[in-house]
Amino acid sequence: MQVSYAAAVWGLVQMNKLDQTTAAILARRGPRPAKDALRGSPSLTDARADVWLLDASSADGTTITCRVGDEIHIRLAENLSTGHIWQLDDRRHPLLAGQANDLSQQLSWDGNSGLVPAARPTPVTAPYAGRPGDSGLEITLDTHVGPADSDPATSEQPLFDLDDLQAVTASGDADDLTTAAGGTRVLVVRPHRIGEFPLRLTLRPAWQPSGPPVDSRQFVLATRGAHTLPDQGGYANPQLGEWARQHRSAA
Amino acid sequence: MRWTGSSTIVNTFRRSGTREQGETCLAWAATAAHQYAAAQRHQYAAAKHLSVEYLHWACGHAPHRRGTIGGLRNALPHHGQPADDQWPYDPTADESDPSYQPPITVTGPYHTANLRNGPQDPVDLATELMAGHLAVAVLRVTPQFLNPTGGIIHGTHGGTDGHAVTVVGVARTTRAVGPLPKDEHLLCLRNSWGASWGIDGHALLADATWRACGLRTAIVDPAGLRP
Repeated sequence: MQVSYAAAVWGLVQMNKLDQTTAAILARRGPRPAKDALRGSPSLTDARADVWLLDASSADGTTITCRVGDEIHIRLAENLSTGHIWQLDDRRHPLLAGQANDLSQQLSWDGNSGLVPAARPTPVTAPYAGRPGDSGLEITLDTHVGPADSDPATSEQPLFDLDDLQAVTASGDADDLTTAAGGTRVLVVRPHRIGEFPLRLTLRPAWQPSGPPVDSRQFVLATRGAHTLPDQGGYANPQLGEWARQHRSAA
Repeated sequence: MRWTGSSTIVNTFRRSGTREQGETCLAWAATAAHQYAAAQRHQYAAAKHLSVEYLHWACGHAPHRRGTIGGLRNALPHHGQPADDQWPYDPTADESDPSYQPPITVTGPYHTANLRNGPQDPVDLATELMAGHLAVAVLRVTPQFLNPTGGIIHGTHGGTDGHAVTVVGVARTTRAVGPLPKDEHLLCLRNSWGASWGIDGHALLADATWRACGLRTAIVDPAGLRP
């Protein structure tokens, strides 16, 4: 909407989307609780940063006009039991093959009875995190949230390990553990300079950073200068009170 | 590294190839174990390949759910599996659609089996292998499992979500190799993510990793034919 939080709240009153009492409460609380609810946790960086959500319902090619330091939360469904994960394409940053597997830097299985010294890791073009100063974007979170964490209905599902196996199998509880329940890839991206940044996400086998993706999504971040409180480019707080009074009396 | 038993099983499976099976991993792993155990008993010569799709569908009979050991425990003896060519794996199938039902090409007979809880210790898993049983292993997916460069999965990450594979071999290091101590057991896993994963679709899982991300195993005992 390109207006401040409070202006947006009172604008919703004008549009009869909010009653005045609720609007007053929301305006008094400020944007922080809403941002925390959107991001799912308190801010780890800048509490003033705006939070933008992109998910499967966001149209492909969506452009977000945001500001330096804002948080763009991308949430896309993936199923680890298929081995396919969403990755952010950034071909400017090579990832060493096997980076996530320390033993593989030293040993390889020859497919038979031999463990042989690993070949020197080969740099591959990989979709992975950009770094501040290079791409203009910083990935502050890249994680998979499992179904038990993302679905309150199954959050009580017990987790088992081998030490508990005898007890678990004796009780039969582990019979209900679903082996192919889907989860969500959560990526948080922050632009740290002004510019236009394409974001291309691809769903592909985790062990194949190149090759044709199974699915892809594309977004664009058009980044402007950082927030300059108190007015954040919209209504300054002293103006807001006057604005709200005028619109209350008009209503 | 020395295999318990022989490396023949592993080599045979590697040469046979493996395909991507989408979200049917548990039915796929159980089918591999079912076929192998039956072959060891010289049963079902006419049906070397059993239908994963049918077993996956049958696991969803209420009150059970697909992708669960409970569903598998119910489906194998009561529904069994027809030959694979009666209902081949369909990557486009939408199992949430009510029309997800066996096609008219499914006519049986149905190869039934019983499912029992398997051991977790690699030595006991090797004993099952030598007795003609491949274990179905249920585990959580770790970052190393997702990218088993060099064909070895190491680390003590606990992983997340759930997945099922088939244990087709158990090996032991005969001396310390890199971070692996002497006498470390390695499980050879056959995965359902295609031949590009690991080495021809197979990878070695270190014992310490298995203890961190492993959930349970199950053994398929062939029971007979149902018309």
